[in-house]
Amino acid sequence: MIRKNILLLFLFLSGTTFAQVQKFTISGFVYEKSSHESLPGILVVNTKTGSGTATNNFGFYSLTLPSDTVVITCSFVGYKQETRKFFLDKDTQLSFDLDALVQEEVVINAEQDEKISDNTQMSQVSIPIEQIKQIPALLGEKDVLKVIQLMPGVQSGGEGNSGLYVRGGGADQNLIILDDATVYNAYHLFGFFSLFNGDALKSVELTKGGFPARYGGRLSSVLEMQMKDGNQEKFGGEAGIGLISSRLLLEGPLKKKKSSFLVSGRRTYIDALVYPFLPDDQKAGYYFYDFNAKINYTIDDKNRLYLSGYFGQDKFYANYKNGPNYKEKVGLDWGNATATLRWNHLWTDRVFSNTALIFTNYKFGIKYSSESNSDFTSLNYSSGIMDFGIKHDFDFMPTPDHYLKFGFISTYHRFTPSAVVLKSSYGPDNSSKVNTLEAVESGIYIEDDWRISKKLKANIGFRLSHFNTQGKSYIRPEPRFAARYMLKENLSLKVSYALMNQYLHLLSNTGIGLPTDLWVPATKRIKPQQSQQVALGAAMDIPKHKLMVSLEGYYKWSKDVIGYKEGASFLLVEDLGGNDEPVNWEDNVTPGKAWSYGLEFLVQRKFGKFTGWIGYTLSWSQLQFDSINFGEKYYAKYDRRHDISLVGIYKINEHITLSATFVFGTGNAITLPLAEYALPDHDPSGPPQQQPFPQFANWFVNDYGKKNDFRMAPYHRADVAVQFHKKMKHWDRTFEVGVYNLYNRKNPFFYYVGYDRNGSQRKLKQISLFPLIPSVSWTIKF
Amino acid sequence: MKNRIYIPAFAALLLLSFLSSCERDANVDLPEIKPKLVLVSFITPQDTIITATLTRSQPIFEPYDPNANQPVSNATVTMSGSAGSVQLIYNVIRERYEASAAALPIIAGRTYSLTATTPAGESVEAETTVPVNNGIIGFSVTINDSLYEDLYSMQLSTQLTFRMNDFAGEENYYRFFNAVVVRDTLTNDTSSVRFMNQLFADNNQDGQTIQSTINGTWSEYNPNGSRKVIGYDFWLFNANIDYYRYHKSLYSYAGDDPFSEPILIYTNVKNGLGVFAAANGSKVRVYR
Repeated sequence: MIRKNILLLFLFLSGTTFAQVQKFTISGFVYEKSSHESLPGILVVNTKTGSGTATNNFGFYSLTLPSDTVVITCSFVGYKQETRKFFLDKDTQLSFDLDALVQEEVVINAEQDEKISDNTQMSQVSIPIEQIKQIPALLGEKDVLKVIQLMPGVQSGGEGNSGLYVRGGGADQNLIILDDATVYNAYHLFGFFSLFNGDALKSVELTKGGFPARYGGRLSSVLEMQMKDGNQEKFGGEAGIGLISSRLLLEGPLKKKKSSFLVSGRRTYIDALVYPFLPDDQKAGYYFYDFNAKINYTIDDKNRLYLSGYFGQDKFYANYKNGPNYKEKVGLDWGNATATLRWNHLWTDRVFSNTALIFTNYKFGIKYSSESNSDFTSLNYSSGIMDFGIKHDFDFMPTPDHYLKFGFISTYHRFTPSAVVLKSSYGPDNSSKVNTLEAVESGIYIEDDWRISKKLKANIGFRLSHFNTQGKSYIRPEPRFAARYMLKENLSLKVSYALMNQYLHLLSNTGIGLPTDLWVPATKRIKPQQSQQVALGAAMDIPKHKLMVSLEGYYKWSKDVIGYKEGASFLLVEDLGGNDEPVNWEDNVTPGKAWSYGLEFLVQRKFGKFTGWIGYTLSWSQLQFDSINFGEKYYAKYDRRHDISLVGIYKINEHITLSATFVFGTGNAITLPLAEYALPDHDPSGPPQQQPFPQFANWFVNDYGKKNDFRMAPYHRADVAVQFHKKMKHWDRTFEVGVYNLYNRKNPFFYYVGYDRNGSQRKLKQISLFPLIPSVSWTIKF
Repeated sequence: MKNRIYIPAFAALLLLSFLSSCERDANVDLPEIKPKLVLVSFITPQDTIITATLTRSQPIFEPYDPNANQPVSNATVTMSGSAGSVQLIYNVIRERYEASAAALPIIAGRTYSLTATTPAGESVEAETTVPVNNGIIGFSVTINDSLYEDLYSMQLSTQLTFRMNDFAGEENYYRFFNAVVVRDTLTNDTSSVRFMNQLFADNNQDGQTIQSTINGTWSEYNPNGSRKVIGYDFWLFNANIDYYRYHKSLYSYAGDDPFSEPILIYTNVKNGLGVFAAANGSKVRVYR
C-alpha cells in the first residue's frame, strides 16, 4: 500500500505524463525592453488554462504544458502586457522584452497585476525602487532601510536610526544580502544612513516570517537586494547632488545584448567643505563613501556570468600639531566589502542553476599615533569578520503545479574580535595581540511550491543547517511550511510555520549602530539562537483600485537569544597586560528566551497616479534571562504597542510629484532611575568604630525599579517632499525640495537626569536629534 | 588598567557633542515614587553580634529630603528563627540595630526572618537561609608580597593565590575576603584593615579545586612610624544566593560606563530595598 502511494506520488510529481497527453516546456527570460535588464517576479501565464509561473531572481521562467494551443501572456504592473498565441508541439524557448508603461497608460491597464492573494508566501513586503526614490528622506538622502522601516512589523531603533527591528527581533537578527553576499554592518555615520541608496538596486524584498527553506542563518528577517545588471542596450547614467553627498551612476553595454556594466558611487563632502576653515594645527573631518560595480556576460543561451561588488567606508580623522615637533593623529574607519561571482546555467529547459562564489568583509579600525622629537607611540586596533562562501542553487519546474528549489551554501567565517598592535619608542611597551576565531556554516535545503488544487497551494520545505567552531558542531533540522487557500477570487487565507537558527551573535552596547558592534560565533558555551514562528493571515487584492490588502497575526518564540548581563560593557574590548584578566565576551552575555506576537495590517498601492501604503502594527515583545531583571520577564526596549505609518506619493502630472509620510510609534521601554540610596557590603573585618553608617557605606546606588518599566514619549513625525521633473535636451532632470519633521516634533532620542534652572531639583531631561530640517537635491538621468 | 582601550569613546563623544545643543525637559509623565526603607543585614554562624542598618531612599525627582539616606533610629527591628525571636536595639554611636548572637544563635541550615516597622507605619521584611556547609575544605592561601616603609607611610604590594575544594553536587557561591593586620607598637593594639576581596561561583567547576590569584596594593599614612604590618586575615565564606546576588550587583555597580546596561541592585526585602543575607565561613590569620 505504502509503495503504491509512493509510486503514485512520484508519478504525480514527475508531471503525470503517463496519464495525459504529451507535455512540452516553454522557457526563457523576461527583460525590460529599453535596458535589456532581466526582470524578477514577472508573471508568465497560459491564459487559456490559467496555469502559470513567475520569473526567478535572474528573470528565468519555465512552464510545462500539455500539447495544445496556448496563449502565453507575460505581464506585470507598470509594463505593457505581451501575448503570444501558438500551438505547443515541441519544447519552445520564448523570451519577452517588456516595455515600461508611461503614467497615463498604467491607469487604464488595471488587470493582471501582481497578486498578493495568489502567492503562497506571506509576511513579505517588496517596495518598488522608484517609490523608494520618491519618499521624503532625512537631508534628502534616499535610504532603502528607512523605507523598509515604514512597513508594518518593522520598527526603527530610534530617531534617524537605520537599524531594523522585525517582529520583536533584534537588529542583529536580520540577514541582509546584496547579490548573495551578507552585509554585516549596513550603516553609515553611526546608523543615521544605510549603505543602500537605491541607485544601483533592481529589487528589494523583506521577508518577516514564513521563511522559505532557501533562507537561513537569522531569526527575524531576510532582506534580499539585487543589484541592477547594467543597461544592455545603451549607455546611460544618473547623477545627483544633495546637501551632504553627491552620487553618480554609469551603465551601458560592453557588447550589445551580450555584456553590460554598472558602476555607482556616492561620497559625502562636509569634510571637504569644512577643511579649509580649520586651523592648520587642528584638522578633523568625517566622510563616507559607497561604490557598487557589476558586470555581466552572456556566454550563450545556457550560460551567463555576473561579477558584482560593493565597497564602502566611513572615516573619521583628526590631526593635531603642537609646535613644529609634536604631532598627534587619531583615526577611526570602518567599512564593508563584498564580491560575488555568479554563474547561471540552464541544465535543461526546466532546470536552472545559480552557482555563486561569495566574499564579504567588515572591518573596523582605530589608529592613534603621536610623534615628538625623540619619541613615538602608535596604536592600531581592529576588529572584523571575513567570509568566503560557495552557494549552489537549483530551480526545477517539472510541471506548472510544482516549483522546486534546492541547493546548498557553505561559508567559512573568520572573526577577528580584536587585533591590537602597540609600538612605541619605549621598547618594552611594544606588543601585539591578535585574536581570531574560525567557523564554518553550511545549509542544505529543498522546497516545493506546490499547487495542490486550484484553491490550495503550499510551500513545503526543509533545511538542514550545520555550524562548526572550536571543535564543536551543531546540526539542526529546520522544517518550513506555508500554505494559502483561496476563499474566493482575490481573497485568500494564509498560514505559515518556520524554525530558524542563528549561529552568529552581535555584541552591541548602544543599540545605535556604532561601528564597534562586533560579530562573534556561537561557541561551546554560547549556543546558537533559535526561533519558531507561526503566522496566520488573510490577503486580498482589489484590482479595481489596484490595492493589495493584508492582515496577519504572528506568534514567535525564541530560545538562546543573547542578552547583555547587567553592567556588561563591550566598550572595553581588550586589555594589554596589567593585572586584570582580559575581558571575555562570553562572560558578558547570557542566554535567554524571547516572545513576540502581534497583528499587522497593510494596504498597499504600488502603481498608479497615487501610490503608497497604510501600515499598522499592534505588537508585544518580551524577554527573559536568568541573570537580568532577577530572572523575571520584561518588555524589550523596542516593544511597540502601536506603530502606524502612512506613505503617499501623488504624481500631479509628469512634471510634479508630491510625497508625504507620517509615522507614529509607542515610546521605547527603558530603565529609569527612580530613587537613590546608600548601601554597605558585608565587611567581616568590621568597619572602624569611629565611622558610623551610612558614611561608611561604599556604594551610592540607583533604584531602577524593574527593567524597562518606563515608557519614553511616543515617537511621531511627518515628512514631505516635492519633486519637479523636466525633460531636457540630453537628460531628465529632477529637482527635489523636502522637509524632514514638518511640524518640528521634539522626539526624545534619550533621557538623562539633569537639574532645573536653580540647580537644586533634579529633572528628567531629553535630548532630541532632528528638528525641522529642510533639504534640496538635484538629479539628472541620461 | 593603564592600557585599556576604551574603543568608541571618540565616536561617542563626537555623537554627544553633536547632540548636546538639543536638550530640553522631558515631556512625559513620571511615576510617583515614595521613599522606601533600606534594610541591610548579614548573618553568619560565626558572628557574636547580630546587626542591621536601616535608612530611607531619596526619590530622584522629588525635592531633596535631609532625612533621606540617614539612619532611621526609631524603628522596631526584630529577627526571628525557629529558636525564637529577638528585638535589635538601636546603637546611637554605630548608627545600627544590634543584638547579641547569644539571644538568637545563627545556626547553619536554618531560615531567619527580619522585620522593621517605623512609627509612621512603614514596614519591611525579608527572609534568608544560612548555608549548611562551612569550614571550607582545603582552603589555603599563598602570599607573595613586599612591604615598603618610610618615615610617614607604609605600602604593601601583595599577590594572593587561594585554593579551595568546592562542595560537590550543589550550586555554591563564595566570597574570599582579606584584611591587613596592623599592630600599634605604642598601645600594642592590633586591628584588621580591609584589603582585597573576591566573589565567585562554582560555575562549571562543581566539586573541583578552585584557584584564583589576585593582586593589590595597600598603603597607610603612618606619621610617627608606630604602626607595623604583622600579617593578614583571610575569610572564606560559603554564601547563600541572596548574599551572592547582592554583592555581585553591588560590585558591578562600581563601573561608571554610560554605555553599559543599568545595574539593578539585588534586593530580597519586601516593600523596601536592601538585603538580608547569610554566609557560613572560616577565618585564618597568617603572620608575616
